[in-house]
Amino acid sequence: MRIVRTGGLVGFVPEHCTLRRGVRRAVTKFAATVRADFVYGDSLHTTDDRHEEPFQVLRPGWSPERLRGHNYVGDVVFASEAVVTAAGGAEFLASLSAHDRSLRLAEHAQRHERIAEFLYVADWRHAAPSTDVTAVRDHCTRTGITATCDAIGESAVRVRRTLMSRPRVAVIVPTRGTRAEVWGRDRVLAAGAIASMRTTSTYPHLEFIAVIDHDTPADARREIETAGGDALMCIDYDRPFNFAEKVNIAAIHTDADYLLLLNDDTQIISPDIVETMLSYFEDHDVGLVGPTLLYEDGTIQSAGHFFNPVPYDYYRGHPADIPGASNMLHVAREVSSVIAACALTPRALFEQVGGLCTKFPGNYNDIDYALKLRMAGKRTIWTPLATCHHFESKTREPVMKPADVAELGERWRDMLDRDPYAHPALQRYQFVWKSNRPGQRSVDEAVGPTAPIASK
Amino acid sequence: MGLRRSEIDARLAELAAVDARLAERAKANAARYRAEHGISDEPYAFPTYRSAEEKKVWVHKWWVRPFRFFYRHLPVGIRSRIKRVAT
Repeated sequence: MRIVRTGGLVGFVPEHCTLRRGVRRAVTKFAATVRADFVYGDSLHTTDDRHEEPFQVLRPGWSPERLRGHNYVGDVVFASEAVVTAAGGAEFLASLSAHDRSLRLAEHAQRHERIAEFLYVADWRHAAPSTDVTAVRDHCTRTGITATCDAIGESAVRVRRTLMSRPRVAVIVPTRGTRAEVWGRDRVLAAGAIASMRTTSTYPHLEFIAVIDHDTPADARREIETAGGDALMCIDYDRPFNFAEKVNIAAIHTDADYLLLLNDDTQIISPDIVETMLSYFEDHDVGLVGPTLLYEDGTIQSAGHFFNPVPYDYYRGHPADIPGASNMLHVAREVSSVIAACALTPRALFEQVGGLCTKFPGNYNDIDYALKLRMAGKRTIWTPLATCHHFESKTREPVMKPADVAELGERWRDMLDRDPYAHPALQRYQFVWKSNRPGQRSVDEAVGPTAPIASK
Repeated sequence: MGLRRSEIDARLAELAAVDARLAERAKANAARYRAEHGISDEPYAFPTYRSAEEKKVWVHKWWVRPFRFFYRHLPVGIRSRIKRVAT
């Protein structure tokens, strides 16, 4: 382990890593500019073929939830002298595993920043983020997180938080009583969504609010009422279609602590989906949590949103068991937004930011909501520990309206162009995390341009 | 918890007012960003794939074609050395 000192920063460079030329100067300048006391960056990894150019590992912006899952910041990190001293000193930190070192430094740092530069070169064997389950357990103890931590092979540590209280959750299901075929069986979608939540979920304190269009067929309404039973409140909706307004109306009819927005074309898979999503709110700066959404055929519908540069669902259409770039689909992590098809948020916070914006009647109200939360200093978390089917577009055709896009851009142009959880060198217009540097191997693998999604 | 329509409308108006306040802040931030980066005030539309890539990926410019052709026909050892220097 080499310890390098530059401009008030201490860098930790393991034996298997080689710092690239000019990195010290670049990191020092960057840290001074953004006033960072913890800096990490991208890396290059050589293969066994000496003629093949090194492949690239690009890293997202600061994501504390992800760091618990694995050492996504890489093996080389820089921190200020003060942070290093507070974390136990350079010699002590140098003796720890890379994951342990990053966790300890991150705990004491105030401003964590990613520099979008290649900091070091290492062997391909060190490309995937390393893990240290003992370090994560110790980190949870130090930071007051009550959780069980298990290693998932060498790719990630599963941090399953313990739910400390049992707040009331209102499940909001806006619907127009659509009937559709799911897995070969005809059913009223909303009735199926409510029934699956009632029968599969192990969470005891649920109440259901169905916001039903006034032209819903009587038999569909009856099925919904039967599925919800005593726990269901039905609200008639007789205005023009506006998903956001329907959710807002449901929210003002309840005094539950949390709101679970649930599309009618969903069906939960994880029995502990509510407990899992609730547990992230033990951190008081979490504002919104979303699960993994799967299509009817079991492929991924969404693993969170990213702006690349338009909103995309991570790994849409890919098999549910793929690890994603740098095993990103194995760990909970911060994202720019999640789909409102299944998302949990505190009611107080919902009211504090004005609920869903009714200027987005169908699309982008979830993105707008997540960005409002970010402006209020709250994080949005996507978790792989909870899964739910989303039979998207069973209820309506996805249509992207230019007026919605214009409104989104007028409000959030700065955030759309600079997604902190993406990377400026990503291959754009892709559902996946891929580098866009010329000559990069992943460019050859690219499947070509794809159309931006119409989020719902 | 049955609410009258007027009560619902009043509560919706409250939410809309909060949303409008936050939207004003967001729009001010976005306008500042546009001014800093010299972006026009035209209504936002998602950039298309073609327009974005033509600007970004210089290796696809027409005048690079002969250089690419020459590079591709170099022996692999020389090519890998050039790549190593370039990256």
